[in-house]
Amino acid sequence: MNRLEEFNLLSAELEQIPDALTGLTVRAKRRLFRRRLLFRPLLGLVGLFLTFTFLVNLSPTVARAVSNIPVLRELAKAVNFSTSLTTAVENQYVQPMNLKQDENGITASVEYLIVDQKQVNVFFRLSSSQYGKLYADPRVRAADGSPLSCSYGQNYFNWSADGENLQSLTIDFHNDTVPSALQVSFSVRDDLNRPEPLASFTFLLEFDPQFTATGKKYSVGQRVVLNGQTITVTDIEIYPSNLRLNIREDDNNTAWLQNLYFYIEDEQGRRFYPPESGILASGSIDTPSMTSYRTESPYFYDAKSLKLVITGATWLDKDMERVHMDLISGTVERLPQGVEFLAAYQQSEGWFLTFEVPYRAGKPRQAFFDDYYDADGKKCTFDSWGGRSTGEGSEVLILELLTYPYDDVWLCPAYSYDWYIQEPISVPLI
Amino acid sequence: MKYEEFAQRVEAIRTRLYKTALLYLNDEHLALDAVGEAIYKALKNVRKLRDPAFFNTWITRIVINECYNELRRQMHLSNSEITEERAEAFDALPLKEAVQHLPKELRDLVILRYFSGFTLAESAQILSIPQGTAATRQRKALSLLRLELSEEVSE
Repeated sequence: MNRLEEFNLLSAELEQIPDALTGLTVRAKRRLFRRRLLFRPLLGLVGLFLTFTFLVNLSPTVARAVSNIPVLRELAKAVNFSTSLTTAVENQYVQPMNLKQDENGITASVEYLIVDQKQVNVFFRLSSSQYGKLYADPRVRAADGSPLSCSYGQNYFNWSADGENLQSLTIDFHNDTVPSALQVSFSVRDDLNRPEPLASFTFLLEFDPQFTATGKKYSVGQRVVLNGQTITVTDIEIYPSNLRLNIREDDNNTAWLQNLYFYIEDEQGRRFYPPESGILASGSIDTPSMTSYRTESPYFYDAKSLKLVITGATWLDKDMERVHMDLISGTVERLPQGVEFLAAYQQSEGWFLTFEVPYRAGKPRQAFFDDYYDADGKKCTFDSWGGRSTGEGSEVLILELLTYPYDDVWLCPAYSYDWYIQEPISVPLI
Repeated sequence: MKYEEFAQRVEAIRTRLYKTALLYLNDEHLALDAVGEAIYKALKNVRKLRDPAFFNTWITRIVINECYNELRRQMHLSNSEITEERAEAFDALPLKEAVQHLPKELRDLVILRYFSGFTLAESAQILSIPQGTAATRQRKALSLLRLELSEEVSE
């Protein structure tokens, strides 16, 4: 076969396009907007690289527990963002690793893991005498390098510009369990705009089976009526890294549960609250509801019984999933509780919709989802949105519809109203 | 750029992006992963694209960067010159491997020009090189590969 024949053959071979190529854009959109995951950002969210000094306040209990194990003192500092991980370190629930690679004057090391059936926390370090700030850009794959169904994010709580501190990466599994091993890669740059990384490191992390086996599921099956809506607590899962409360909503409910306000309490009165950062809840992409909620873990407390204590909820009425707005008259059919429509104005670029949105717990809350529907019923995504604080416990939200040709738009509220109860409702779990 | 327009533009070029990635990475799985990651990064940064007319060259550059990230992880990067002594061994390689063993600047151009369907001008834009340089590299690459294809020097 001559070269030209080879060329024709290779060109024909390249025409065989896999089916998996279709759908990559939709997957990218879901990944970008993460609609069905309630996520409380850590200080220093991925993409925001702030240099700050973090004052560590180790509790006396933690200090005593780890003082006999000098190497874990640094780890105790690195897990300060999570009560569950702090307790895990206290109980020496740690898999030490001793993996190190060098490239181009940069050293990457993976030093500890905290692993259970559903989550992997990787503690690593990047250092160099040649470069200043180093950014990790992590990727997670299966052990054989193939894609893995999980979500992951770097925690910037302990990041420092000089690379001295241990950094951490949390890898979360929703439906699947943690495999026996996986691959973590770091593409290291000193400048986020640099196209090619300074160095790339790939580590194969093999987990001690005693850790990947830890965790237990308890069947609950308790029905409870909240504000006329029926939910069933189906089961709870308890792992060292978190507790997962799984629920199911009754088909006859007139509203979707958007958020549940609660804590878990054991027989000694110890309370386990939703975490301060990271994933708070997850839901299905088919409905707006959230069906699995997380709290800090009671795993190491050996509780004899647990109960769910509900203090309130946020609901989205099923007849409020889309609300009509007349852009010309500036009227909107219905708004989430506490949200005020300010103005709709048109400029050369398009339409700008402004609302005043109340804060909740000192932070702006999400008033609308990032999708909307145009006059043809087509689902679209806002071109951009922005917000600025009013300085009075609320923010002005601006939604942009660039080159939008219609006079009407249908917005998708993120909630209808909050509901709080005077006497918390207790539900026995185990 | 609205998401719908972004999705349409990606739809129009995704086959070319995949072919580009496949020739760099020689693995269907990795090529899909690289294209998926590139689409995600493009969507995240689409507001930085000043002129939508450059969308194709812009997103192709992102795909190539992702491929180099992956090759670097696999330690497969090689930028050695083809010497007289190696030329004979090079000739004996199957075409696909010969393309992958070309020096980086020649490999980039050959993949874009002859397997991903870009014109000389588009390829020069993607690689951020003058069109004359692209034409020279094109000629050299075809010579090394012993391939007689249309060079399309002027557009």
